[in-house]
Order: sequence, then C-alpha cells, then structure tokens
Amino acid sequence: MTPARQKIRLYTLSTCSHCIRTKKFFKDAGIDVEFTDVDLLTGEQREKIMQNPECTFRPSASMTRSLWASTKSASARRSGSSP
Amino acid sequence: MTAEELHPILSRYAESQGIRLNKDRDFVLDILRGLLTNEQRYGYRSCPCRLAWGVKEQDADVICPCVYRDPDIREYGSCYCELYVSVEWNEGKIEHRQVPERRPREKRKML
Repeated sequence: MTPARQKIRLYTLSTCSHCIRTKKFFKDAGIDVEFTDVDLLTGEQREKIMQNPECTFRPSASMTRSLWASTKSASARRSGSSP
Repeated sequence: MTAEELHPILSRYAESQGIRLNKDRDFVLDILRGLLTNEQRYGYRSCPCRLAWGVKEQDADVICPCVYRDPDIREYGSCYCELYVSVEWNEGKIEHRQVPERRPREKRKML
C-alpha cells in the first residue's frame, strides 16, 4: 500500500540567512513546503510550537551549502549561463 | 542603517579581532538584515539564527556577537550563524562543519 503523501512543514525564522536559503531551495525546486516563521508568531501559536525542547532553527552547514549549490546551478541552467 | 552600510563596519571590526566576516557577501547581507530587523523589533541586535525572548536580560548571551562566538570559532572555525569565521574557514583550509547550539537549553526560548 502506498503511504499517503504528506505535506512538508518547516519551522523557520524570518531573520535567519540559513532559513532564507532553505526556503529558496524548496521554492526553486518546485517542492511544496509550508513554512512557519516562528519569530513572527505571537501568543498561543508561538508557545505551542516552542513546546519542542530540541527546537533550534539552524540547519546543518552542509545541508545549507548543498541546497545553495543546487539552487545556484538550477538558476544557471535556467538562464543558460552554465558552463 | 542598511545591511550594506553595516557590512564594512563589521568587516573592519572582525579584522581587528583577528577573524573575518564570511566571504559569502550575499549570505552575510541576509544575516545583517536579520540583525537590523531584530534591533528594530527588540531594541538590540539579537542573533538572527535564534529565537529571542525579547527581553534584553534574557537575550544578553545571544546579542551579536554572542558569547558563544569565540569558543565556536575556536572549535569549528565559525560562529553558529556563520557570520564570523576564522581566516582558515574563509580560505577553505578547514572543514565547514555544522556548529551545534552551544546555548544551554534552559536559556533557549521554549516552555
């Protein structure tokens, strides 16, 4: 039986450079991801998300770099500037 | 102040400390925009890669440059955000590893 497709949801910070790149990667790749900028939430919504004691927002450097490299090469391919 | 205006100021500051800003300028400008947003939002330049409490005393350890920067650069070559880095890190002479969160759990914004 094929498992049901589930939407990816990521919790991010609007101020974070790593989060910005991660968002751009998924957008450029055409992957539908639901982002929630936790720093823009207030009150109960924010408290609910922060119940995870391991919650940090910084993705691994290697992940960010891989995403960014993919994003740049995808952009280059689209613009025809790839060597 | 804009991120573009802040960049040369922090670059000179970093050099005075024997370290550097990450040479990826676009990446750094996004970090600086986050810093300036936090300054407007909270009144101080809280780390843009961490969720602030919004109370200066509780965020004192993560006001940029955070108190974890120097030990992180010593151990990993970069701070948590990869804003401040060592010369060797910038030159690619050391591996770029993920910098784990050094801030103690009890100081993080959570219940």
